[in-house]
Amino acid sequence: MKWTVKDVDAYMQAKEYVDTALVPLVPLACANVKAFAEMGEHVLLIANEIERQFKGRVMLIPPFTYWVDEEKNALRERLHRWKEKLGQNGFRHIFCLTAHADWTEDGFVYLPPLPLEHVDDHYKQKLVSKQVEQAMETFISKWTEKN
Amino acid sequence: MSEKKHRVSRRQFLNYTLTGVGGFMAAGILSPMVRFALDPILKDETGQEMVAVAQVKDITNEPQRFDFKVKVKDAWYESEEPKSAWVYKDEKGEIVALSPICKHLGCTVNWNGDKANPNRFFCPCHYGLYEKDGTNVPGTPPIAPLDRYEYKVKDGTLYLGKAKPRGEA
Ligand code: FES
Repeated sequence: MKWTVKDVDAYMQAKEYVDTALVPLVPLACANVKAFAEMGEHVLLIANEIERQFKGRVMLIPPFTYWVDEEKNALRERLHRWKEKLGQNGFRHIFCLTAHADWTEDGFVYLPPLPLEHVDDHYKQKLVSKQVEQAMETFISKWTEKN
Repeated sequence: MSEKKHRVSRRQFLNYTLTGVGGFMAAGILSPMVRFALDPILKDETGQEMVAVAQVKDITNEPQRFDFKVKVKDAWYESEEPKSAWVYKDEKGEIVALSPICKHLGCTVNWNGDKANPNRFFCPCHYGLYEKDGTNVPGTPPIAPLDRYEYKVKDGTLYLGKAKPRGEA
């Protein structure tokens, strides 16, 4: 489900089934912008695809956005508070998606950005669906281990 | 040089205008007919475009997943929405194209997705199960069978239209 009026409505009626929050991490930067824009775009692309396939159990949260030069501890603290808040609201599983290798915490799904700019569409789709599949497997294994 | 020769008579004037206007009208009537005759895109009854999804020769008795895209228009923009279908031939050799969208809360189901339940569709979200023909297995969360796509076969290609609840398709 997405953070939209329609989906939130469905969510309110099926809250006990939607136990997983998906948080895409989108970095902002003033230097090396292209690389960071690519990371954000990549993460959102995959997040949307995961949401499409796991619509009934996963809520796609609006992106957690940050400046790459933010003070590290404060940034981690801020993300931690987001996750805490989501946890308090009934999400038993919280997955953060990132393409930025700086994040090394637990509960992160790391998606190395693909050099998609010069790749043809068909091949691009293959590469992306491979990553989507892997991410979904991680979800499924986390779901089954706790049940 | 008499000017009279170049004058257009009333009769001529009417002739010219009527052929001109008539020609336009004829073109207006004929061109959509020609367009329909030549247009290879299939439409279903509601005028919705059907999309080429697979070659009939690739369809087996075992459900396979085919991915395709449909154009959707919402209030602001037209975009392409990714879709998939589980397609197979049943015992009578008829094509069945099932929507993979779980009737519980909308996750994507997989054929043989659960080792403990072979030859069924499995929904990983809340462990919903469906038989091969899309019937939901009682006791699992889904309360309705999987939707079926409307389909057409033309020149060995399978085209899919809208997915409809069973009973309607
Ligand atoms: S969405 Fe398929 S069982 Fe709940």
